[in-house]
Amino acid sequence: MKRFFTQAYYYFLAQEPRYQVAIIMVILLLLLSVVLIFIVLRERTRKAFYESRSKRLRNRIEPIVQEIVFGNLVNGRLNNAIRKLNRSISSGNKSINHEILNDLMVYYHRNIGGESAQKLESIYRHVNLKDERLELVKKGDWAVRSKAITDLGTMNMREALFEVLQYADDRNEYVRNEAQYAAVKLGGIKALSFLDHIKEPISEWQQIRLLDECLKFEYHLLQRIEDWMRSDNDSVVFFALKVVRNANQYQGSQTITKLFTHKNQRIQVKALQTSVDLGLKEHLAEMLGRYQKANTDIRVVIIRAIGELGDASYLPFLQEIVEKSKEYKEVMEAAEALKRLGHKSLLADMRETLRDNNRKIVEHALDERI
Amino acid sequence: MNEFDTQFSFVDIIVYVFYILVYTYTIAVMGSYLFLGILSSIFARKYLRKNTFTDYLKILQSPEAPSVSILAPAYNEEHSIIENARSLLSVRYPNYEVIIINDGSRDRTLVKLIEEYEMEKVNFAIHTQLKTSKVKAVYKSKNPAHQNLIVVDKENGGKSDALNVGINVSSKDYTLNIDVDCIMEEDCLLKLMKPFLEETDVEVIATGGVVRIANNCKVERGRITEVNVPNTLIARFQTLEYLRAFLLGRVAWGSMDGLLLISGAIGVFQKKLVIDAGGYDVHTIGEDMELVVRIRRYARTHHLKYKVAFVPDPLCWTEVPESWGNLRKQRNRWARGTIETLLNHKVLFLNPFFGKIGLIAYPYWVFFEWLAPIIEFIGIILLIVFSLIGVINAPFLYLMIFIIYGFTVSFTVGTIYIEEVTYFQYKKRRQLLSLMVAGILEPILYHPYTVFCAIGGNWDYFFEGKKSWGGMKRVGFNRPGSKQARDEKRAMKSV
Repeated sequence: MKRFFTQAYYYFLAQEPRYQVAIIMVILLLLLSVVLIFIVLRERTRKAFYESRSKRLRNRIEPIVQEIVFGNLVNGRLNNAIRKLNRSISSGNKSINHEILNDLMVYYHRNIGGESAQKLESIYRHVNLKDERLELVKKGDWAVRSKAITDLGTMNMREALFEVLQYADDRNEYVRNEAQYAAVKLGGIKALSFLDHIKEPISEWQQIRLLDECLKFEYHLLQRIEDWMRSDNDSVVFFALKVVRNANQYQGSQTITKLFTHKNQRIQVKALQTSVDLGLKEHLAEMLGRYQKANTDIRVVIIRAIGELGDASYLPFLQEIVEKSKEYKEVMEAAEALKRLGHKSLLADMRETLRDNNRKIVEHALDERI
Repeated sequence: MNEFDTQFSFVDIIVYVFYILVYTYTIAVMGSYLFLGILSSIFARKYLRKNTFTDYLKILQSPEAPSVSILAPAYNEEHSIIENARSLLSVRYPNYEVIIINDGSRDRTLVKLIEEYEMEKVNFAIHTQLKTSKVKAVYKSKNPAHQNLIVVDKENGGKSDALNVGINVSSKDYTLNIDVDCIMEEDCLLKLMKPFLEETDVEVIATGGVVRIANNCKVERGRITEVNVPNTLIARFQTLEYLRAFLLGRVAWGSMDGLLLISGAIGVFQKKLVIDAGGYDVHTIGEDMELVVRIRRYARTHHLKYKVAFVPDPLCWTEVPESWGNLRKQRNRWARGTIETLLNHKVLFLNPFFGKIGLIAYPYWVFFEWLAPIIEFIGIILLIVFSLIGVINAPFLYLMIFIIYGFTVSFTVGTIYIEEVTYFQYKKRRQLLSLMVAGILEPILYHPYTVFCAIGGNWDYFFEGKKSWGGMKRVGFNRPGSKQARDEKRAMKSV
């Protein structure tokens, strides 16, 4: 064997440099293939090993956690159970054990409430998981920091609110998003104070998350909503309008009209839609004033507003659109508006006098099956 | 040694140039694959870490979720249409409608839909924003449970035409364009819509997702319930090919915002932009790639800050051909579609106005997707010729072949590794091993055949005149004097 390798080595040395490079590359690539195959198989074994280990630990600690949370343990027995839990996670790889316990508790907390949740929170503090998460928030990469913040929020660690709020305008979007979300979870609507000074934009996705959380709280606490609607950050204005719309907040109605002329057209449309959804009849005149100079998207919302909030005095205006407009959406919306205002028969009568396209649209609007 | 001996003969020069070209091209291909591989593993890891914080239920429950129309063109699908429609109607999303466009089927596709879903003709006024073949009728269900189902019956005009009809009928802001015979993951729409909601600096105009192979997988009630490696070797080769294309290629291009292709099997588009850009081109074979390239051109020309995103999760499952004949037809078509799109948009080539698309993505497609099989084919022919006339340096050449083979196998195993640590679809050890064996055989048994098919596609396109499904002469999006061409000229001048 040794002789074979020696001969191969001398053969290699006898070659031209370009052959030598090629031979080295062939050997390296073959080795790489073998190593990669080995790594894939090893990865699978490692994964299986980690899963079985997690399962074992989980089986050990789950009954203890359940006993503490759901059992009626008094002081002495409670302390014993916590000591037992501490012992279970102290053996072996401590950081992995703590991670498994953390995930288990977060999972439980998501699915329970009331007194049991409070007990869970109390053990979370007892076994130092809260302090560990707070440490992780300060160091580590974005994924570690974001997860630590999420865990603090889910576990309702209210005392961490101040810490969490500091990251609500973080440069990293994932840390920022998790901090904002956790802050609302921990501090309720008051924690939305970060909206007063936030510079980074809030994505639509994040707005949906925050809105969902906001709607769980007492709406009367939404006192700063008008300030948010005046924000320089367009995403804050957008979010405020969503809150107003979904939480039926009428106190900001005067500010909404000012947004009809906002420089961002999406905000204009959203403000108009919000007025309609809130049923703010008094805004109709203002909307109508903008109709002539508006583009189709805005016109459609204004026509919809008339259908929702208007009365018989708007009939000539709507009829004119149905008869003369060449914009599909405008004609359709005007026809729908007439229907909504209770003038279906008028619409049916108009049909014959209309040009082909508009007639088809009116027939569409009249068809109740669509 | 006399003076004559040191002179190079003409053949020597030809062989030398050949060597230089072959080695340069090989290194460029391997280098680019390596780069894409590294980039996609970084991006996939980031995506997975990022998604540990994602709770899709939030969007599912939200009244603020953007609205989507699912457009499913159907042609002679009577055997599967009911099951497919059921699968589409059970997608998890709060605000969507399903539009099935019967593209002049000659079988009972329409009748089956009408019977099963209690459909009736309605007075639907179609907003004709894109020119299409004639629509015969629009149907809605009498059953309130299927209120979000619309069936459109139209004259046959091809998939692009059917999709254009779907866009005209759609009342929502986004369209999910799919192949009706694909099996979608239940949460695919939630995942595909997320990028539209996440971006704050740029506007996302389209998203695509990973398509996986459904051959030999267990399907129950329109859903994949057990993932298996295909039984046949040809389908296994394609499994590896799809893994490489989606997990490495598209993920990497997506991370660089250089995607030129969103699979026709599944992709979400911003409806308004698609309409403004002129909708699907009905005269092209590769309508999926053509649309993406065109909307990118449109967005750039109109100075929009935009992005085409890619979701690395497996979202859709499709069956691949299991016969060599069908595979040849498919690859021939793909090759023609690629050539057609690339030639129709040749203005992009190394054009700095189009940024990354013009300088990186488009040239990559030209050199490594379109020309790769041609260069490979010419290389093999020359190799044979040089061997016959005895001017080739055989040992060195064999070594080069080994290097290429070694690289291909390593690359495939690397892809399997990425699949293993990210999406982990093939859970049994035996499945993994069978994929590896296929990876070792693929460069010898499968790759030469795909080269042959692509050469056939090139031949058919340039010499047989097979430039489209219907053999119609292409008028084209960028014909001189068209509105788009004028806009572009103006935009480039202004820059």
